[in-house]
Amino acid sequence: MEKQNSKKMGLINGIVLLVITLGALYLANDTQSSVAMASVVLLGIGTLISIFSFVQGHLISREQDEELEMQALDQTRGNESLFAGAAEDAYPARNARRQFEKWVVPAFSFLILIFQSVGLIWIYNLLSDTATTPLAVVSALTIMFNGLFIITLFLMGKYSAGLARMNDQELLRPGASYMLLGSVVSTSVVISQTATYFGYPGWDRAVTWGVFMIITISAVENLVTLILEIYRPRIDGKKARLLYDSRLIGLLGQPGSLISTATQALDYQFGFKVSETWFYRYVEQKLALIISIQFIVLFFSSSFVVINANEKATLERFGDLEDVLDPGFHLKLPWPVDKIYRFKTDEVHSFTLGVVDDNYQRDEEEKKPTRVLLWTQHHNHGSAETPDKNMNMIVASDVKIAGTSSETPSVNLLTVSIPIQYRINNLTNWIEQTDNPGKLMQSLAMREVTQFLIGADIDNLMGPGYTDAQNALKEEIQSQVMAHNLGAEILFVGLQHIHPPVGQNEQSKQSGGVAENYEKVIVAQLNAETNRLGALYYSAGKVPQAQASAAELLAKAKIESTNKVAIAQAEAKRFANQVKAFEGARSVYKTRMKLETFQAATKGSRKYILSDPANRDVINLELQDQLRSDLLDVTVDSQE
Amino acid sequence: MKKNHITLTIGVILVIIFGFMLLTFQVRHTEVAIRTTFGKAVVDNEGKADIESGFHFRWPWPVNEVYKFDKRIQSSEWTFEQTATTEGKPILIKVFATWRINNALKFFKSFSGDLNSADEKLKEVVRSSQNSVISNYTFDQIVNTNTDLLKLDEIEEEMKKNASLDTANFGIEIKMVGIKRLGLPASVTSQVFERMKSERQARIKETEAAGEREAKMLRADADLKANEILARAEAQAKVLRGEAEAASAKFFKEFEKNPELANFLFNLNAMEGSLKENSTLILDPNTPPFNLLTQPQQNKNN
Repeated sequence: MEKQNSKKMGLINGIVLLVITLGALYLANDTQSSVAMASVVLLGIGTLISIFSFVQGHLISREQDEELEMQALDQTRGNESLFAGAAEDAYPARNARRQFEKWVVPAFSFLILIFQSVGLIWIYNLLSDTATTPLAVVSALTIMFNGLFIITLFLMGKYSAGLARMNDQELLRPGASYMLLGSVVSTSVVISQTATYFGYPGWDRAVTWGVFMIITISAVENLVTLILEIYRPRIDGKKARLLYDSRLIGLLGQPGSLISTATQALDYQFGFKVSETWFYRYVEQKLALIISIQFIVLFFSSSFVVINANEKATLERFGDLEDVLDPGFHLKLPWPVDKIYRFKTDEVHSFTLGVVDDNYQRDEEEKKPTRVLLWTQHHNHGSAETPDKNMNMIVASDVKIAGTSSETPSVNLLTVSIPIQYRINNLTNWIEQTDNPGKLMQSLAMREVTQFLIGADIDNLMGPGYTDAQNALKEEIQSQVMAHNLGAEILFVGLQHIHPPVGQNEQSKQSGGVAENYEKVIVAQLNAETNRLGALYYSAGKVPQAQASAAELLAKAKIESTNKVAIAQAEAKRFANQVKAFEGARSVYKTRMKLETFQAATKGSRKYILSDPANRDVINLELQDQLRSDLLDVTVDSQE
Repeated sequence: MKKNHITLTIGVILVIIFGFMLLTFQVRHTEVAIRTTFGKAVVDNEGKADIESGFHFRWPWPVNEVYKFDKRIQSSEWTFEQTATTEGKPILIKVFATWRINNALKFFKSFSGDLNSADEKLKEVVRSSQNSVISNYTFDQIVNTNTDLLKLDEIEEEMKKNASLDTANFGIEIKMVGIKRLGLPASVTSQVFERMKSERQARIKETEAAGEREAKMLRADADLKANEILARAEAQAKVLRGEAEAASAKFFKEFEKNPELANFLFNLNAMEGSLKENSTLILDPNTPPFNLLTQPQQNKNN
């Protein structure tokens, strides 16, 4: 009769778990609560195990019926040797049970392992993808239904666990363990949903991680059990433990057994019955009181607040802003009357408008030296495929280029990256004005940058107007922040990465990109400067050289003039003397002068004297050189 | 018995706490709330359902339900979108809007209290307003070096006005519509790149030509100065030589005392000057003093 009840109980457990799993799935889907979804995974596995153990129990029940029938048959037929020790074929139910335990049970355990793994991946995705996971929306009705699940699972689990302790009813144990653990997990679902209901959505994720860990450990235990099962010695008559019956789940579902296990361990370790000492008994008796006192102490400890040096905090009383607390020790009314929200007001916060160089960040992560950033190379400027990263800002241009299409707007593009640093200087405004002041500040700052750039001159911006632009932007952004009462002070606006876009396309293969052409202007300027300096070098040498030549020319002229006058004077004086000599002996003087002069004048000259012009005899008075034959052809008239 | 007493006390405390939580609610200073009784909103004499911040009582569910909303300024921004100016020039524009709930009940009815839903509806309204307003302005009124011609503030104000009209019954108030970014489509961007390159190449030419011009001017100026200096020096040298001629001329009068001798000496000087440096002389044997070489033979013949 008891066995029949147990069998029914196994079936009821399976059905109840199935219904609760489906109900929990519906609520989880409705609330988008990740911990509720994680609990569905656990309950689903429990449902499968419970139904499976019912099937196994049914097979065992059939085997037992078969054995009774065989025993009755044996008694009816007496001890006829013909039927004694019937062949194996005579026990189909036993064979079926053995084959089931040999093949189907391990296969089912493996299937459970697969379910656990898939469930873990699913939960992990839910937890890691925070951007797309919506916040849980919880109503009191949902919490109430989950509370109903707790009670149902706890009562049925407790009853089944009690039944399972009876002999040969261990098949109820896995389902009972999952029901009890299901009630614990449902309790955590209710706690996290209650917290969400009261405005603490963060609990949902935290509790989900806890359920995730439980399933992970259970899956590891399942895997280890499956591996150990291969090497387990098979001894006839020794009953094998159910492969899918998790010890861990049983322990977590019934924490009371944990305490009794711990007590036994203490007794064993100390060598005497610690559990029978007065202190242990006293603690055991007053445990509820001690825990209550701890809760009360914890409750009132929320009246003490320490605000750190880099923080300020808002104190809210029943939701109204009561005060802004400075660093130091403060007293407040306990939660939930007074609540504290901390903000790092002195910390310098920052964001970057425009290009954020993720290569730079990647280098930082990999602790490699930062590579050189060049205008002519892409450093995450975005492209047609990544328009969000394409931060080419429009800058107006009043230069009209001949040959460009009239459809092409007269604008320039500029790649910018502008880091902005700020600090909260009015906490009340910071939290009261907007839901996300940082985001609004970014939008306002970007608006100011856009408006500033469309009226700016690109060359001035990248050159002498850089500092003015930086200051002007800072002032504009600060005025916008003040106009919107954001409660922040702009500390720094930097113009880094402000340069022409790389601008490479098909046409750039020959003419180069935009940034490259900007560099070429610099090259042209350098060339022009080099040219100018070369000319200056030429000029620097040319004029002094001319001055030197002029001086030389003048000096020469002066020398010649001086010489000319002096020589003329000397020759005049000499002539006066020569006249006297000439007057004295006219012919002799002339001959002597003539011959002396001839001798002196022709001293180094080659002389040919034709002895007889008719015979062409030549007297060469200097015989070291051969006579040139062509000279023999010269006819010279005789002179007096 | 004592143990039961403690358990009972704890139970009572827990019941009080949970009862308190079920019968009260708090609205933060950043929030506004509405309360419904069996689904019907509770409104005051002025027809407003807004519950301001503080501590409030309520009946537990399902009698009362409380819905809270963030009453602070919300900031919404949407995708970078292409639109066209009045002359048909394409331009990419990204706008953002700031808004806040000004009637919680209307907001609840319009969007079921969902901020994301409100953001979606607002997106449609602002996008429509943005396209219609931009199409009334020229490109030069949006981008121009002359800031006096820019109409961005006017455009933003018109977009806000249009969007406010379209959302008048949503229970929200639009505080601002701002142009966050301006851009150009990829095909136009490519053309702008070419334009920018042309501008730079023109500047390269101009710079190189200016450098060349300056260098040539510097060289020419130097040549001019050098020539002037040399010319002045040569002129001065000629003057000096002329003065020397003039100065030496008075000594030449001495030669006029005996022109015969003077001419003879000049000839000698000229001959001496012309026979210098490796001259080759082919002389008749009768030329003195070489006639001495042939005289004995002549004498013998005579």
